[in-house]
Amino acid sequence: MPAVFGVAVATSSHETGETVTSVLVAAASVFALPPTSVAVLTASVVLLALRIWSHTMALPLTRLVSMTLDASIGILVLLFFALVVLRFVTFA
Amino acid sequence: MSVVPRRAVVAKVLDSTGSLVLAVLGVALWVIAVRQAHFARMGPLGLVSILHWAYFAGLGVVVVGFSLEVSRATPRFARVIALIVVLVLFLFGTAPAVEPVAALTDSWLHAGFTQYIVQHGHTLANFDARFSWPGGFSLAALVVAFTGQSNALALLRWFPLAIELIYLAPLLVIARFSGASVRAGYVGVALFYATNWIYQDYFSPQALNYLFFLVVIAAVIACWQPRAHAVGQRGLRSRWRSTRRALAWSRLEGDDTVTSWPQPRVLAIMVLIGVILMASAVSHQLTPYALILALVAALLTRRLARPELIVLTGLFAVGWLSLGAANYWVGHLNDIFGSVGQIGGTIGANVADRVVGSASHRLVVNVRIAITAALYGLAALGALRRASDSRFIEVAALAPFTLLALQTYGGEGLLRVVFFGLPFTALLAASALFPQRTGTVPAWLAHDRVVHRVRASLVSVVLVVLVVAGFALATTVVRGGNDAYQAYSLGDVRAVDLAYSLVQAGQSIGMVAPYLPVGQRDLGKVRLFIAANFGAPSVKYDESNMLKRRPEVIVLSRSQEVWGEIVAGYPKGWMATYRATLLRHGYRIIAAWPSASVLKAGEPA
Repeated sequence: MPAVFGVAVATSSHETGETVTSVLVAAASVFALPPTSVAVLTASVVLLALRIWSHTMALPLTRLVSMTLDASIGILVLLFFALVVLRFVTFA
Repeated sequence: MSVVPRRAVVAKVLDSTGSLVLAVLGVALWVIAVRQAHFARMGPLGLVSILHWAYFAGLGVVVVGFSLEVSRATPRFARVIALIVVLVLFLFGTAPAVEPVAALTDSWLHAGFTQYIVQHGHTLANFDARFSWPGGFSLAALVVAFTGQSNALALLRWFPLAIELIYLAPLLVIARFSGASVRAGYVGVALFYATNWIYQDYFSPQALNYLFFLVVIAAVIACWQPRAHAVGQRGLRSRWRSTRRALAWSRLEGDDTVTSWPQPRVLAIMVLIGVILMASAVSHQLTPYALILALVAALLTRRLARPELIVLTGLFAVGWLSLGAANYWVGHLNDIFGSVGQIGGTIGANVADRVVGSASHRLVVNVRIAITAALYGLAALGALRRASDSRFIEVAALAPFTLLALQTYGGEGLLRVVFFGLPFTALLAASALFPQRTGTVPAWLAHDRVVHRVRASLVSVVLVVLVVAGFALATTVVRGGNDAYQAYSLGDVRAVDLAYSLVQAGQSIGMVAPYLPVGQRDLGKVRLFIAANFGAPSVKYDESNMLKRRPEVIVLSRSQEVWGEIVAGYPKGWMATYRATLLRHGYRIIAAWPSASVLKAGEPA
């Protein structure tokens, strides 16, 4: 399976001495597993709750903070829907 | 000392007590009607075929009392509510009072889902799509356990009346803050009930979720009002400019709405709405999407400040579908997305395919279509006649139609669309009689001649009586129109209980069609086999299918026989032939009641 991305990790385990590859995510399909979706969903909901709270309580956010918050929510929501599509494609 | 004329005294007494007396008289007539109705004599037209004249007299009395009350200079809130409650009793309490046990197989099956959770503490995987959205069943299991019941059967019979009465509170809030006039609000709520023939209030997750839907919309429109701006012009160009503003970016920034509530209260309401949205996402497939559409309507028409609630609803709904309901869609993705864009096929599956069967059944279906068409016609007139500060109810009435482009929903999509739009359509229809005349969005027909005539009190009383009573009578006929085969006797219940006691785990109970009080126990242990082919029903096919599968126990009932005669087009008396065929092939009758018999498999002859 093609690697999606790799990160620098130790090349051998300290305990067993076995070789450890630098590939953290082996296939795109791992993004279809529940933990990824749950993490992105939780992050989206937390930021949305923050946005609702700030607007309802009329907190004086600067324009930059407001836009950053809105953009982050938008990106996370899009990412979440992309993960849902990936789940459908992978498991259906 | 002044002398008060006798006529004035009588008028004053009538005004102060008249509507109350009519409400009490209505209840008395309802009790007489219920006591005189004999379930066993029910004919092909269903419930209406056994209703005593006292029912119709009582309904008329209540509607007249309601009309007199709303036509007063200042309608009295408590009296109006009392009369609406009696109207609800007539329309939704008569069937539970007359019929010995709860109607509709689905309500018994839902009791079975609840029972499974009570016994096992979890759902049954890969059993039924509804179990992938278990929130409503879990809540019911909690209620069953909390109240010390052994099962949910005690909840079934009166559930429709109870949930319809609970709907009244959010409906009144929606009516008050919708922008319709006070009278239109009251008449709109009455019309909601008088046109609600769509049997979605039985013991089910959708009935609970409809309450969630109403509560969320009521809270949103009570919280936010449109920011005041200059009264609009009546020209087409001015209207087009106003409409275009609905799509402006500023609408998303919350600058077009105001709230008079203190900030902590708004925040508390938002938290509660968030909890309700989460509960809705895990308990029903369709309601969250209807909520999204209604919230979009509120945002476009300046009744919701910002879009976060819409995004939150979408995240919860799609999140649960993707993560929590994977059992449902793995291998069945085509069931979800297969009908996207097929609007013609969806309408065909929802309307044309239902106009089948005997003359009585076709009459019931045609009257249902006529009620809906008349309500939408009246609503269109109301939309033209009323002025307002926002066109929320117009957009909210039309928004659910978007669902038709996405899903047939098992041939019930159009019913659900009408149902989700009903609170708003009913308010628009009421606005045809009592339009709001002031507002920044002017009426299309501001100076129609009808206005002045309708304002005259007597004319308004007569109009309200004609419209509400007409719809209520038609709904009485069609709401109970399937009861000839969807309402069950005690004999049916005993037959099913006996059948369950005769089978063991892994064995099957057979029936021709799913019109029995069945499914309330042994979920996943005992299989239910239905012989009929609903696409092309035929007695011969049902016989050969039943004999091929050979379930250990078969329950035959009067309700299935009536279904065959009035829906499937089977010849009169077909059940006797069917039973004889089964007896010839090794089945024997174990027990029989006037309405049902239980057959057990033996060795084929």
